[in-house]
Amino acid sequence: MPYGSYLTRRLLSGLVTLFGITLVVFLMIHLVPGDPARVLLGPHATAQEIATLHAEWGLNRPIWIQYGLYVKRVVTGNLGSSLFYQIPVSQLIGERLPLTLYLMAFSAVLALIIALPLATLAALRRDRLADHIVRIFSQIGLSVPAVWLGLILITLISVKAHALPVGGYGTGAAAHFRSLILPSLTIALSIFPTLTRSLRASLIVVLDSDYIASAKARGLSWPRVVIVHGIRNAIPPTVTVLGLNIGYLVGSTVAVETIFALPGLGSLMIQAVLSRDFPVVQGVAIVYGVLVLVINLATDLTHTALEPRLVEQ
Amino acid sequence: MSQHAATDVRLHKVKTAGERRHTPATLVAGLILLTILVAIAIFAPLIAPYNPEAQNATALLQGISAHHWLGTDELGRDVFSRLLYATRVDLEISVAAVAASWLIGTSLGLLAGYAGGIIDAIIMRLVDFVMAFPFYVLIIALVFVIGSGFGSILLALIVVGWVSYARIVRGEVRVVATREYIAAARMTGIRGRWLLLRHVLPNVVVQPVVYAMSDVINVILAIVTLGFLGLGVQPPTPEWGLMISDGSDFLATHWGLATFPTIAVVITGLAFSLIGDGFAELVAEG
Amino acid sequence: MTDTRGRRGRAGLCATALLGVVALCLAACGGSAATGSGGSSSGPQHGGSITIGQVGDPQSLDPTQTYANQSILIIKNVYEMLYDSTTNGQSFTPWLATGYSLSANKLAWTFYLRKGVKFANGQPLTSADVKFSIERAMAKNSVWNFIDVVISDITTPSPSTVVIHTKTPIASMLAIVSLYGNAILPNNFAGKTATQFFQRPFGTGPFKVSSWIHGQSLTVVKNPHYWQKGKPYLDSATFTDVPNDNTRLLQLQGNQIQIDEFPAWSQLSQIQANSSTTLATVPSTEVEMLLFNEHVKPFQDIHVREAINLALNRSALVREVLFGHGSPIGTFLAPNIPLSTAQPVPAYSLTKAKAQMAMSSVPHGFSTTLNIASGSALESAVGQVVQQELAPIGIKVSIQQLDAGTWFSDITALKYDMSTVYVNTDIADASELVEAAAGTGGNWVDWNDPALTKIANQAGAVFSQAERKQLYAEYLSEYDAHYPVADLFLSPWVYALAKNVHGFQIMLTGNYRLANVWLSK
Repeated sequence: MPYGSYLTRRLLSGLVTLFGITLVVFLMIHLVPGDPARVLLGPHATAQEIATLHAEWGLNRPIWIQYGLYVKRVVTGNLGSSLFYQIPVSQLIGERLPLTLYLMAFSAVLALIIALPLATLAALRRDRLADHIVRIFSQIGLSVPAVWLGLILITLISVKAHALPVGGYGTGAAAHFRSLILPSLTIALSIFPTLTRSLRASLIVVLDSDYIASAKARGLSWPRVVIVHGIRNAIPPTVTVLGLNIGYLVGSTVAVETIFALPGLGSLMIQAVLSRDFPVVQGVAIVYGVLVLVINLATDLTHTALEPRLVEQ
Repeated sequence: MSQHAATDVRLHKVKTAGERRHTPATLVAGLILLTILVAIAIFAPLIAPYNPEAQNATALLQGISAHHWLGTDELGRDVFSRLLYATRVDLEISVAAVAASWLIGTSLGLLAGYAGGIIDAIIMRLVDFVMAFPFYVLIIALVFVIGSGFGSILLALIVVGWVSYARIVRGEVRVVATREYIAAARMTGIRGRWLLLRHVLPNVVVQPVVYAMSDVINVILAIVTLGFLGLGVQPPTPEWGLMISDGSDFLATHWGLATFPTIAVVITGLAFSLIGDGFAELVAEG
Repeated sequence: MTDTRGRRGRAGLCATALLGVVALCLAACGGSAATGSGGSSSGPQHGGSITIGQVGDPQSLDPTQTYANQSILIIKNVYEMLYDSTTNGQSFTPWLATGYSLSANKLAWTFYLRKGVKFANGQPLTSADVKFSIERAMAKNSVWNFIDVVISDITTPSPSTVVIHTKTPIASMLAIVSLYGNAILPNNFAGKTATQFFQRPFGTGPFKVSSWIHGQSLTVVKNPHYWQKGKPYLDSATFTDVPNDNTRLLQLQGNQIQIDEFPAWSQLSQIQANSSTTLATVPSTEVEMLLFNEHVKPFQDIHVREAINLALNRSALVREVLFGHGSPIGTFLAPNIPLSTAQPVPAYSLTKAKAQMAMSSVPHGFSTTLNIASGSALESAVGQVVQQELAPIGIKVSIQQLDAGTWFSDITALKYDMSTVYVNTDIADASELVEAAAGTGGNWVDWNDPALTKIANQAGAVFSQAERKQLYAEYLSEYDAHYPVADLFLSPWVYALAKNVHGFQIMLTGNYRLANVWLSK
C-alpha cells in the first residue's frame, strides 16, 4: 500500500521535473541575443521563412503561450530541423541514441567489473597496504582527464598493437562491439573510483555486521560468506550510487564519443554547438534530461522496492 | 579468521581513539601539495623562463633540453612556461567557481532549510530542475548560449554548481533543526537569527567543505574537457585542456605535449582529494 | 581543436559566392601523375571497396545548394554534366553531350546528348532531365543562380537535344555547363520527393548513394548502367565522417581507411616516412590572406596596411602553420593561373613596419579583432602567429573564433575588423579572382578603386591573351601597391593514400575521379 502511493508521488514528481526540463530548454533560446527565429533558422534564412516561424511559434505572443506551443511540439515529437544536416532533429537523434545507450550500459558494466574486486580487496584488507593502494589508485583515476586517457588507449592499443579499431563505429554488431570496447573502458576508468569507494563502504558495514559474525560462527567458509552475502548486500546501494552518478556517466559520453569518432548523441551535441545548430542543441538537451530522469526514476523505484523502510520517510 | 577480523576492528577503534588529536597524514600531505601548486600559480611570472605565448618558428616540437626543460610545442612555445601559467588559469577558474558555488549554495540552502514552506519548495524545485540535466550537457548548453572563454565558463560552472551545496546544506539544516537543543534554545528565548548562526552553522559548514574538495576535481576536469573540445578558454591563453588538445596530434611522436598537462591535472586532483579525505577523517574523529 | 572541417571545401566559396563563376578546371602543369606503382602489369583490377575519411558530413547532396568540399567530392561522382574538364584541366571535353552548335546570333547553344546513357535506376538520359536540372540551378534559391542568370530559357526540341538560350552572347557557356551546380539529375526526381531523392541520390555517374547515416558514413555503390564500359573499377566506396585529424591519420595507418581527404600539415612527413602510406599532392591556387575592413578606421590608412604587410613574417608562417609545405606569396593570384604574373612578396622588416606605423594616423598602435573559423588547426595557428607578429608594432590583436557559417557570412556582410580568408580559382583564367578582389559585384574588403575596375573590365573584354596578361599584370601591381589585404601563403592540395590505391589523380579544384581509382591486393 505505502509503495503504491510512493510510486504515484514519485511519478508525479518526475512529471514536474519533465516540465522543468522543457522549461529550461525553452528558455535557452530566449537567452541568446537577437531574434530567436534568426538563431533557429541560421544566417541564410529568408524573410519569408522567418515570418513563417514567427507565426508557427507565436514569437509575438506572450511567453507562456509560446511555452505551451513549444511543449505541444515536443510532445508530438517535433523537435525542429537541423540547420546543418537539413533533416528533422528527431531523425538525427533516433539514428544516434542507440549508440550512446550501448556505450553507457557497457561502461557501467565495465566499471562494476573493475570496482568489485578492488572494493572487496580494500574492504577485506581495511586500513592495510592494499587498502591504501586501492585508494591512491582510485584517486588517480578520479583525476585523470578522460580525454587524455582515451587518446592514450587509442595510441597504445589501436595503433601500436593493432588490436582494436581506431575510432568509428563500424558496420554490424561485431564491429560495433569492438568499437565500443576502448571508449567504454575510458569511461569506466573515470567512474570506477566513486563506485569502489561506495562499494567498499557498504562491504565494510556488511562485514562488520552481526549476521556475518554469526555466519562465521556457524562455520560457513569465509570466501563464500563474503561473496554470497557481503557483495549481494552491498550491490543495491552501489547501484544507487551508480544511478546518482548517471549524470557524470552520461556527461563523459560527450567527450569520449568525440575522441573516438563515435556517431552518438554526445558527439552530435558538440558538433551542433560548434556549428551553432540551435535546434539540435535544444533537442539533444531535452533527450538527455529525459534520459537522466528515466534512469533516476528507475533507480529510485527499484531501490525503494528493495528497501521498503525508506518509503515511510 | 572471523575472530581475527573482529579483533582487528576493535584494535582499529582503540587506535583511532588514541590518535584523535593528531592531524591525519593525508590532510597534511594534501595541504602541502596544494600550497606548492598555489605558489606556482602565484609566482608563475617569476619562475617561468619564457613568455608562455612566445612563438619560435625555428624551435618547433623540440624535445627536453637544457634550453627547454619540457621541450617546445608545435608553435615553438616553451612547454614548461605554458604549464606554469596554465596552472594559474585552471586553478583560478576552478577555485573561483567552487567558492562562489559554495557561497551561493550554502546561503540558499540555509534559507530553504530554515524558512521552510514555499521558499523551501521553490528553491528545491529549482535544484531539481538543474540536477535533472547531466552536468556536462547543461554546461555545454550554457556555454553555447553565453559564449566560450574564461568568464563564460566560470559563470556556467557557478550556475550549475551551486545546487549540490544547496541540497546538502538544506538537508543538514533540516536535520539540525529537529534536534533538542534548538528546541531548548527556543524555549529560553534566543532569537531566530542568532539561533541560526550560533547552533546551526557549524554543523552545516563541514559537509559542504568536504564535498567542495571533490567538487574542485570535477570542476577542473570540466574546464580541461571544455578547453579540449574548443568550448572553454580560448587560445593562445595557456590552459591544460588546450595543451592536451594541441598535443593530441603528436601523441605517437611527442607524447609529452599532451601528457605533462595531464600529470599536472592528476597532481592537482590528488592534492584536493587528499585534503578532502583528511578533512573528513579529522571531522569524523573530532 | 584539430579538425579542419570544411577548410578546403569552400573551394568555390569566396569566388563563387561573390561573383559569377565559370568553372574551368586547371590542373597545374607538372601535376602529379596517377599514383600507384602499377604493380600489376595487367592493369587496373576490378572489384573491392574503399573507405575514405572525410572531415565532416556531406550535409547536402543537392548540387544547387552546397559548396562544401566533402559534398562536391561525392556529387561529382554521382552526377555528371554536359561537358567536363579534361584531365589536364586546360580545356573542356564532351561528357553527357557529344557536341554542340552555336546559332548565328550566338544566343542559342544546342547540345547533342550522348546515346546510351542511363541513370543508375536504368532510365535513359533525355533532354527533359537536362532542362529540369539546369532550371533548378537557375532558381532563385539556388546558390548558382547568379551564374545561370545569363540563361534566359531552355528548350527541348527532341529527347536527345537541348537548346540553352542566353540573354546576351556568352563565350563561357562550356564552362557554365561543366559547373557541378549544373549537374544532371533525373527529371522530377524520378517520382520521388526532393527530400527523399537527396537522401539516396543517383545520377548518370559511376556511383549511386546506397546508404547515408548522418554524421557517420555515406556509402556509394557502382552504377551498373554506367555509360563508360569497364568503369568504375571499385564495387563501392564509403565516406566516413572523422573530424579529428589525428584519428583520420591513425585510421589510414591501420588501413581502416584507404584515403585521408585532409591530412594535417604537421602529419605530412610522417605519412611520407611510413612505408604503407603515400602522399598525392598537386600545386593549387589556394591563397590564404588577411582581410582589412575598409570601413574600419585604422585600416583606411595605407600606412597601417603597409606596416602590417611588412611586420608579417611569411616564411615563419609557412614553417609554423604549414610545416614548410607551401610558399609565401605577395598577391592573391597564384602563379599557375593563366594570365597571372608573379608579384614580389613584401620583405619582412620590423624596422620598416614601425616606421610606417610612426607615419600613420595611429602611431601608438591600436586594438583590433581577428575573425577566424573555428575547428581548424590551420586557422588557429594562423591567428596565433599573426597575433604574435603584430604585437611588436603596437597592434593588439584579439582572436575571435566563429563557426564556419558565421565566419563566412560576416565576411560577405563586412562585419569584421580583420579576418582570415582563403581563395582559389575555379577557372583557368585570372578574371574570376580579379573581379572578386575589387569588382563592382561586392568584394572581400569593399575596395573601391575606379581605375582598377576600368582595367579589369578592359581585360575581360579584350580577346588577345597577350594583351589581357599585360593588363592583369598592371592590375596586380596597382592593387598590391595599395595593400588592401595581406596575402600570406600558397598551399598545395594534399591527400594521404594507402599504398595499394591506384588511379588517383587530383584536379586543380582539389577533387578526384573515383571512377578511375582501383585497389591492388
